[in-house]
Amino acid sequence: MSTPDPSPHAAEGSLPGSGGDALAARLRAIVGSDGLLVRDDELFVYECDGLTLEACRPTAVVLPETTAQVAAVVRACRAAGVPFVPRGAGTGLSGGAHPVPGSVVIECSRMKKILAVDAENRTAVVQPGVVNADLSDAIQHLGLFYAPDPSSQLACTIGGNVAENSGGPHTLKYGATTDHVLAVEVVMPDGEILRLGSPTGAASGLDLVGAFVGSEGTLGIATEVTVRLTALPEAIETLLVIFPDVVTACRAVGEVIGTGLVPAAMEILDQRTIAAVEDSVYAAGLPRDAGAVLICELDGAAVSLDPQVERIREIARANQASDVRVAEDETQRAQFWKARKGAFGAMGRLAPDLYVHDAVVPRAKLPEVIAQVCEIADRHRLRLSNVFHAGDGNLHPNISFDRRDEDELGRVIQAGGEILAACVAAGGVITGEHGVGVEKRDYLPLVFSEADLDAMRRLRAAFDPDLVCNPGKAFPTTRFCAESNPKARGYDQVPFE
Amino acid sequence: MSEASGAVHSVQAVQQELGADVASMQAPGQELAGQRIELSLRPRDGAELASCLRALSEHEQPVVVTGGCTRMGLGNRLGDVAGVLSTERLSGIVEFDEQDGVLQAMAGTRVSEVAAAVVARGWELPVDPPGGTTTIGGAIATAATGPRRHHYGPLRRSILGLDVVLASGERTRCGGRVVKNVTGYDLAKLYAGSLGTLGVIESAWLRLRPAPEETRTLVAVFASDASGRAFALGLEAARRDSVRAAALVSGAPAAELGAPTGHAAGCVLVVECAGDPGSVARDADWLVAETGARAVPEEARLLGRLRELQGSGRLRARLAVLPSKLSRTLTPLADAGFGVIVYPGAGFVYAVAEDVENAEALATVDAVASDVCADLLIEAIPDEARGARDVFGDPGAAAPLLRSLKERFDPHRILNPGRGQGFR
Amino acid sequence: MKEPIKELASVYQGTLDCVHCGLCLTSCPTYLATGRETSSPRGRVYLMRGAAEGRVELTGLLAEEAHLCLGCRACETACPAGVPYGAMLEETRAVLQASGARTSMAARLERGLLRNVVAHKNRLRAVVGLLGFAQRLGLDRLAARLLPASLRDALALMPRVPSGPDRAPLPETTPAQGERRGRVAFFTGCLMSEVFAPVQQATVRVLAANGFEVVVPAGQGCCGALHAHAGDLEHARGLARHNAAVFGRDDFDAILLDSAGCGAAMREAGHWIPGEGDAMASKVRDVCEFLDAVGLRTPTGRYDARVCYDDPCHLVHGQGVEAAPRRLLRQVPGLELVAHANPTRCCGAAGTYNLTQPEMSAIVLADKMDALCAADPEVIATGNPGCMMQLAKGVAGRGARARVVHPVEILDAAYRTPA
Repeated sequence: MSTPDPSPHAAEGSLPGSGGDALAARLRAIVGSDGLLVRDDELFVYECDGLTLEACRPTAVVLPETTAQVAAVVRACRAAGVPFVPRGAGTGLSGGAHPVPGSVVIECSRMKKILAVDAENRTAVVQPGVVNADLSDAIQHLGLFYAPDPSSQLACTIGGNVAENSGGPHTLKYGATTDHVLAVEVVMPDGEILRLGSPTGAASGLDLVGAFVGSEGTLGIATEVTVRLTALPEAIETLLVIFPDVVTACRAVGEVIGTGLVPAAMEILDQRTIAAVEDSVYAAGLPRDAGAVLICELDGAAVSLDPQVERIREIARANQASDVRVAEDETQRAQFWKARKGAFGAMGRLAPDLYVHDAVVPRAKLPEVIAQVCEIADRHRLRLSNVFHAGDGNLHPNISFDRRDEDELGRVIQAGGEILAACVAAGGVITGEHGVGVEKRDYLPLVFSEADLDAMRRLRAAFDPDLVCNPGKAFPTTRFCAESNPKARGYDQVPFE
Repeated sequence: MSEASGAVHSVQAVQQELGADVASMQAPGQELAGQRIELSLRPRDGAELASCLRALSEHEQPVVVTGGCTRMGLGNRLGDVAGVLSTERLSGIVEFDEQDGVLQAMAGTRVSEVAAAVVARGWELPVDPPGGTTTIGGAIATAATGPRRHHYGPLRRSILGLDVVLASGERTRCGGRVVKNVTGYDLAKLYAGSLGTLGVIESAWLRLRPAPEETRTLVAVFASDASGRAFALGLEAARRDSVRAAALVSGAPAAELGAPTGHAAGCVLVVECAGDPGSVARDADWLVAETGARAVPEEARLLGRLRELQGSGRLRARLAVLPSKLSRTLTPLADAGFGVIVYPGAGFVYAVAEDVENAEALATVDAVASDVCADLLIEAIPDEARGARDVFGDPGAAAPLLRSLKERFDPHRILNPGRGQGFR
Repeated sequence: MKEPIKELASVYQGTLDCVHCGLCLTSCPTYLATGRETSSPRGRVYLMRGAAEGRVELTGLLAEEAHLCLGCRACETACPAGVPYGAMLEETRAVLQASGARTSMAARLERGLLRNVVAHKNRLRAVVGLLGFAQRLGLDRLAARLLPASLRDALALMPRVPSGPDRAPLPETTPAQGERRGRVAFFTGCLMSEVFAPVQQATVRVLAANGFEVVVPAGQGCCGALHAHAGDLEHARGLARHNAAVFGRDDFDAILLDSAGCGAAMREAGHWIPGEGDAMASKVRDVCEFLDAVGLRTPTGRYDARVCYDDPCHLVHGQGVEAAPRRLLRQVPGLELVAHANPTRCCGAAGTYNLTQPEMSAIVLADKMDALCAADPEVIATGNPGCMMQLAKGVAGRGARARVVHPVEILDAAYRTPA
């Protein structure tokens, strides 16, 4: 095994050239040879996460198994003056787990034990590497589930969810990750271990857990998470509503919200998404000729569901829906959801690359914003597909492209900026569940003033005064501004240019 | 420059800078929260609020920040302040999106005013704190809660965005008006419940809930604490989805809610069912059958009286307890003579007392809290006892972090000095 | 734009379908065991793309990972983009083989055995006969002590070889029983026909009992799966060409197999030898899939046992057959089918993997045995010879009670046992 080769990636002296070997030795002493990756081709694989537009090789990757190891790794990095980047399954779409130059990636995938399940109090204590879906699978027999359900839940980890405050289709009714995290054990950026919050979810004093969740790995590394579990609903009805186009589907969703119904989830897939999914292993028999479909799920007491289904039918009909299908059994329901959750990956069928946007607008504005988004994509001659959490107003305009086509890449970036600007103009924000990461950092000024960001920096500085924990994420870079060209934003690291 | 003369000089400087429309000197001898108040600041908009804070920072004049002044006893003992900064004139609903069910209100708007405005349009404000004059800003800053927490969850869940003026006078925004948002740090969580120690809330975007089609309040009287507890603590497991609020009340407060006198050991269960008519009827009928509960007309304001009890007592402790430990929490508190109000769904136990001997009563609360691993918050405590402890509990290893936060958000300690956890 | 390396051109095309979503991660046994992105499907696809683009060495980590990969193709079942991972892996291994990257003693021995013994029926028959003879004398245990570790493991995996008469070749034609429903060809394969002769006899009986005339065409050879997995695509293509000719001589309703690994390979024939392989591939069916599709004749007897069905990777991921064997087993009177935690995850057999990567194979098997032991079956049913051997080894290692059988053996018993 070779020693790390810091020279090509070390920037601004962030990794002391002569200290690289010593750091590697120290890390090896903590996690063993098996838990340390330093070969160039090993590091190559870690150069990006779910966001492939940018890439940067780390100096080393460590795979700790305990909180004590994480703390020791952090202290070793501090001693060597090297920044570190926490990573879960690397499914994030904003580049939150992207290495920064000279950094050590702390990969939590081996910390995957469910430490305790307390069915009576509906809590569980898990290590950060526990896969989201595995937790729900493990407690299903107790009549419980873990409510936040990102579309990547088959792979993404609870630790990553905490970092990004991940949402999912069922956020509409059940809330995002922040509403389900009761307490966190954190390895602080100085290597100290701190417990925030309480299993009761009502710790006295400041809500430090609330501040930590969604901080994109910049305030410390969660090494143990106490989560709230939710009782499985008594009854579930899942409807598939067929619409002539996305705009009518959005209008129906707005009306459902406006009449005071609270479905568990409302998801819209447009025609291009339907086609991609139906070509994939997750095909669910969605009608290919539909302009859009709405998956609407209702849950709760059995006695209250039938009238709600009727209300949805009425609203659907009034909005030109051609058909309302109710899932006949659990198998069909699971199919609908697999189709929805596999949609992003299925886009791989359309083009080599995919840019998944993530913006939120007031729900009443959905129809007009969707129309604008389509106009922007058309104007830039881009292939756009939409699959999104309509009930939350959370859009995912997906642009399929080929990064090897430099001109197209430029148009993708340009259109992306215009889409975000349109969403902000409608009263929205630039990310609803994916996080800012590296992807959106230079768009933050669209939403926040320098004073707003300054307040956030105060929180950051209280936790991480030296800015060593996942630096360069979640805040605008000082070097570039939102108007800068794609290359200045780091896209020059894309191969084949 | 001596501290005393310097302070006088600067208070006047602040007043002069801000002008009589916003700032006024108080008559000698005015007190608030046990502190002498010389200056009263009453900004009318965000810009004036920012000016106030800028001037206070510049002259290093600490203030106590108030909304409706309903919960002035919360937090650790206030340090020396020069004046009061009231948000009461920052009032009004700025925007109410009826289709989306979201609303922006100024911090000084009363909760009751907002609640009435939205109910008229089919929505509901998801917080029901005690205190008729409680403001939106005050409710957020104190993380206020009420019996309906059972259904609403904590208020922080419904805060979409906040406009906050920092101690420096910088006007900042976090969050937004949309219902799902991870753009930037979730600072709203940090401000909510921070008792105005990190910044002053100017306005808030809140997420509303659909108003229920039907609401029914029921009350059941139990002859013994044991039978009442057994039923109330089993409510959650009974999966009655329409239950919006449930409270079990024992001791002195129970009598006020109509527990028959002479029933020393009796307790009262108050339940509010709300939602679609089908499930409300189902659950109400079940309650009647199981407990002999009777429906109470709305005019009886039963929940309102319950909230008043929740905010009563010269000594009042809130224990947040895991469901499995609730039963074990209640007996020793009742035995020690506390009136006890339990929200089983939220896991909150309020122990209230008017006439217990303080040292002993506090020792009981501490012992119970430690036994059941409760999160203890002393909400009310006679002033003489307040200075002797951190009412939030010992912050332990988090103390440096808490100090660092205060230092960075309010370096001159002008906002509610001494109030927060570990800030003493 | 730079052109990708020529040898990896088609692999490169496959990598373009991957959008790096990561849904494959938790389907991958080696990722679960190591937690390393480098040992995940997404990481391996990224390495393939990197190698094609000339950004990483072909013979470095990619070579190691190409062989650490079980080739179970569970990632294909998870992949929404339909990345043809199995085919990309085979081609990558072939390119590595051609580049001389893999020259370990074990690799050369494996390749030699596959080319010179397994691919030749008579030689294989002789070797297996010798092995059975040695087993009966107890010589195998003696030999084990003298052999290198990898071959020792191979011996330990071997089931008891049936004695000569039980390995008698199947009749070339077996008539249908009862109302005739059709005429099918049976592909016997290499190892299956030797070591698992009783399973094949059961298959023929079950097909006949279901009204099918079963033909075993003479001259058929090995399917080439093991060669392809080992990176010897060239030899695999030759075998496929031979079989296409043999089975093309007559018109059958279907070409049936009772070995999942062979079935998956035969279905790939169109991909290996475009055109000539397609006709054969289109008729290939697993015996369980076929029986389920035509409708099983209800067994006359019983099979009283608590049974766990475990999916062979090359059936569930390679051929997409998951429900059919379970539906068949549920129709057997007396049989209690119990679920276990991880039926679709690889058992670690993976062709010759348990010989070439014994450590990882043991880790993967341990996971499988944890799940199976928790369900505590009396019988474990699985439809692939490698899996049968591997699970039998796992059962023995745990001192568990279960017998490992092929699903058709259960059906056969249920037809032959009186009610």
